[in-house]
Amino acid sequence: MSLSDEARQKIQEIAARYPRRISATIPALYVAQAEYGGWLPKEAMVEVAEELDVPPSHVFGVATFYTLFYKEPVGKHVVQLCTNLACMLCGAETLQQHLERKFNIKINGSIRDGTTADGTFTVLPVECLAACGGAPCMIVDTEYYENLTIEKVDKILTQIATQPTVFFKP
Amino acid sequence: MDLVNLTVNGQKIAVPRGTMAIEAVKAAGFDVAHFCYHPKLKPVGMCRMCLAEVGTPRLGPDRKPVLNEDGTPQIGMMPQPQATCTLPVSEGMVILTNTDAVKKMVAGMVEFFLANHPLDCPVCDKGGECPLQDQTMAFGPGQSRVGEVFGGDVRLQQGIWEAKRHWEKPKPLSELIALDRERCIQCGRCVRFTQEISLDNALTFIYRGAQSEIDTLTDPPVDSKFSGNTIDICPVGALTSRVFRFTARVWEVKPTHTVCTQCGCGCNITINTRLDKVLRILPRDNDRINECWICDRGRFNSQFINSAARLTKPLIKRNGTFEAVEWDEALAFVAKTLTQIKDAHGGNAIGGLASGKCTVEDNYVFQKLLREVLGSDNVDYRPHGKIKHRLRRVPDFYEQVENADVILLVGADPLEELPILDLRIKKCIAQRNGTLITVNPRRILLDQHATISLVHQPHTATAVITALSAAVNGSTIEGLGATGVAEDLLKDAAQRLAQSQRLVVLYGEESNDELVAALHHLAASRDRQEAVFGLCRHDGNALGALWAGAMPKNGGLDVDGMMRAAAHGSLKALYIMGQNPVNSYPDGQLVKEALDKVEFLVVHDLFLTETAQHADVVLPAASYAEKDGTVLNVAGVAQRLKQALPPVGESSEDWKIITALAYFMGHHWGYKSCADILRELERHHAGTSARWNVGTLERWNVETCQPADTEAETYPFILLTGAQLYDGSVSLRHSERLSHLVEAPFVELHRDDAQRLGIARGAEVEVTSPRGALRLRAKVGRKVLPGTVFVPEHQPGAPVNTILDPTRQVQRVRLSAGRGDG
Ligand code: SF4
Ligand code: SF4
Ligand code: FES
Ligand code: FES
Repeated sequence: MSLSDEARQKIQEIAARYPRRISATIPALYVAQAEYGGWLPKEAMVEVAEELDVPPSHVFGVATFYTLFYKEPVGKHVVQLCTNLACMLCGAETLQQHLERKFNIKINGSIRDGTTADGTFTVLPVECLAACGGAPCMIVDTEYYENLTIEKVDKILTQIATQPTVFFKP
Repeated sequence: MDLVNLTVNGQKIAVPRGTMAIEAVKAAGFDVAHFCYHPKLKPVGMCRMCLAEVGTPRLGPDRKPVLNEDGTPQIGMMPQPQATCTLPVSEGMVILTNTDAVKKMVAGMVEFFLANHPLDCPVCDKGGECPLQDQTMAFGPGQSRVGEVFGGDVRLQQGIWEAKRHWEKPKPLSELIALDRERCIQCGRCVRFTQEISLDNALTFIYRGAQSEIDTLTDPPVDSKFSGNTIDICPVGALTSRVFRFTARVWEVKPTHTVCTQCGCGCNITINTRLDKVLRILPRDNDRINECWICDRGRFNSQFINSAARLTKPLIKRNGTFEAVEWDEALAFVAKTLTQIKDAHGGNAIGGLASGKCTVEDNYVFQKLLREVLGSDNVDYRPHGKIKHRLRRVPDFYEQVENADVILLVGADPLEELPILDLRIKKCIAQRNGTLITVNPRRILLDQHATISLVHQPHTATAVITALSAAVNGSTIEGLGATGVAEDLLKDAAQRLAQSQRLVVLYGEESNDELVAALHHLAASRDRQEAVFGLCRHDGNALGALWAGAMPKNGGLDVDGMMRAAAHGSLKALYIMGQNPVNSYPDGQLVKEALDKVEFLVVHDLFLTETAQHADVVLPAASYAEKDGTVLNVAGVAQRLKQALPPVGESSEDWKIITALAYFMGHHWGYKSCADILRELERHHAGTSARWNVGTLERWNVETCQPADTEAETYPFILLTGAQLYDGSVSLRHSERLSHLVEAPFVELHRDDAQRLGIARGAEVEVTSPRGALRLRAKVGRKVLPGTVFVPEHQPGAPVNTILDPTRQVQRVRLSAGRGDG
């Protein structure tokens, strides 16, 4: 597989917004990640490098530095569950245990362990989402959900399961 | 010079303004622990090893130093230790590197480094020359408070205090380099080298924090002609050479300081041998030439020297097969046969090809054999007659390149031809803010860093330069149309040329006289004519061979003349030293005819090359590592080769072979060493000097470089050829590691042409000329112009000289898609 003409076009448009093309690396990687079904194989990084005319190693370094670029295939929806202090105090741990049991996964940071058998969700623990006021909280795809309870989480996830993935908000 | 006075550990010293404190401390004679700092790289302050207590004079409200009672300035110590590698010195600064506090801090840093460092020294290749080992001994705490807990994947959030990082090891980073991620201390020197010096960005840090590692995403991995330098500057055993690993401990090897002759750069190197085997080649610092770098060919192309395929005995062909014989027999046979031919047909029936791969001494003795003993003036060191070298000594050549404000590069690709020159050009661009203007018929990798690339239609370089001169002088620009160069680009280039104060012009060795004259004219029109340099790419000592007199004089035949005469039958004997014309002579057909026709062929070489196979007698020669001698680099700078190991088997230095042969023919020259030969040569040259004179430029008409093109329909593409650093040359074939990096034979064509002809990337293409056809892999891109294709010279198994017709100025071919595989 390789980037569609549309995606290439999009990357060119993004690049044109910056004085230096290298500045477009992160947004261009988001475009590529959406194209590749939510994750970035090395080919995708090379293609982005080619499109932006920057060294492939630079793109590799950026893509691996940021955790929101996934280097392995992820489920249809990525759930980022906050496990930092405020959320933990407000019950994130129960949510974590609930989801682990419910989906028979491990929420330990490994994409493989955190992905449901049917490939619908990948649940990853994250440090503070900067929404401590609404603790406990999570992000599904690009949407924040706050003041969670087990019931709320179940309801949200059941709803989202059948909806298309939102890779990034333009 | 603007000097700054400071005190280091009580010692007063003055250093130039802008110096980093670490250099000042070193200059004062003290050691500073450091990992990330490297004098050739920009300081980054990443490792925090170079700490010191630093103070500066206190200033009063009147901005004047506050004085102590005794009249000395009061020093305000900075509240924290300072990294001396990122701290520029200032007037009156006080630096303390040996206080108890500093010792404790540095010991603490060492402890941190070792927290994640495996106890590998006994099995680590770097052991014995490892800055981490040395600095741990010198500054380390002796004992660590960090225990090791085995097991657990570090990727999964283990604290560094619980476990050392464990990785699979070693990881091959490329064909040439192995990476041990456990040993890496993340100083970034290797990454910074590829970002600041080689500018190829071959390496990067991936992931972050405790998970960071070094990696590459280029194809092939670590796509750099300079990758080996990262091994040298890695301060730990993280990067090791896959050629050298585990062949010896570094304290067991014998270092020999000599010079690389694999191209004309003249890099200073150290050859490490053990038990007369070459184990590795390292750069030797020489800021006037290679600084502390060498290219990967110079470094890794070493296995051929001890290859089992080396010739170790003289060979005589009898009834079509080679027989190994003793030296006496071989030399007597050669002497007898050459004498017979000379007596029967005269000396001029004998021709000699010397070589820029051999030393000055070899070449001098060679031409002396031809001229004095055989009575022939047919002697040439050049692979073919289009090459023009001019002897000039420019000891500060590389400095001139580095400090140029504008470099004009015409008809050359330094990365493939003269890699260290490529590095200097990059230094000029990246560190001295220089401007590079290239004029080539196709794009080269260096164009990525060029300010202006004038890519022109083949064979129109002179017209481009003439137009540039016109633009510089403000006269009307003519004849630009045929070149395909856009006028505004040309004008931009001309403006930069006109304004430059320190212009350096570099041109390829196949540039014709008109082009060279045009370049001198261009340079002269802004009075810097002395900064015009011809490059030589083919052989490391080409200028040395020229200096030694291995060129035809008094109407003798040059290499082209000899080939033709041999094919014609008038040249009866050919004596070839260190050349492989079957591969390297542009007219593959002619050279085969010549070698078949000639009655007697003698070849000196390391291997039974394609040319040697045609020979009647093959004499085993010594490689550059096995001999003493003198070589001249691209700037005419003479340097000494030193013998690192005795010649393998019964092979011998070329000058010794020839001196012995002369003896067999009744000439007793009595040379005991290279020094005797050099002294004689210098006497010869006393009082003369070869200089290229600037002629007046005649109006050069574009039309004359456009030959009548009747074949354009059948053969629609113009074929360009050029050098490749990793080519099919015989030595590379026998250096196993590096030979993996020699690319499969390819032809490069423009995207649009490929699309039109339905040729996919990597597909097989047949390249056909009136002379023959080659099957090559298609490289599709935008480096060549539409309508032209590029095929490198001497590709393994697909020598382009079999389809060239040098009697034509323009080579034309047609392409047809062969079997595609991708
Ligand atoms: S591999 Fe060596 S040079 Fe590169 S970052 Fe690691 S320790 Fe430094
Ligand atoms: S640049 Fe040339 S002289 Fe220097 S190491 Fe490489 S091959 Fe040898
Ligand atoms: S701790 Fe969860 S959002 Fe801040
Ligand atoms: S040497 Fe100064 S911080 Fe690394």
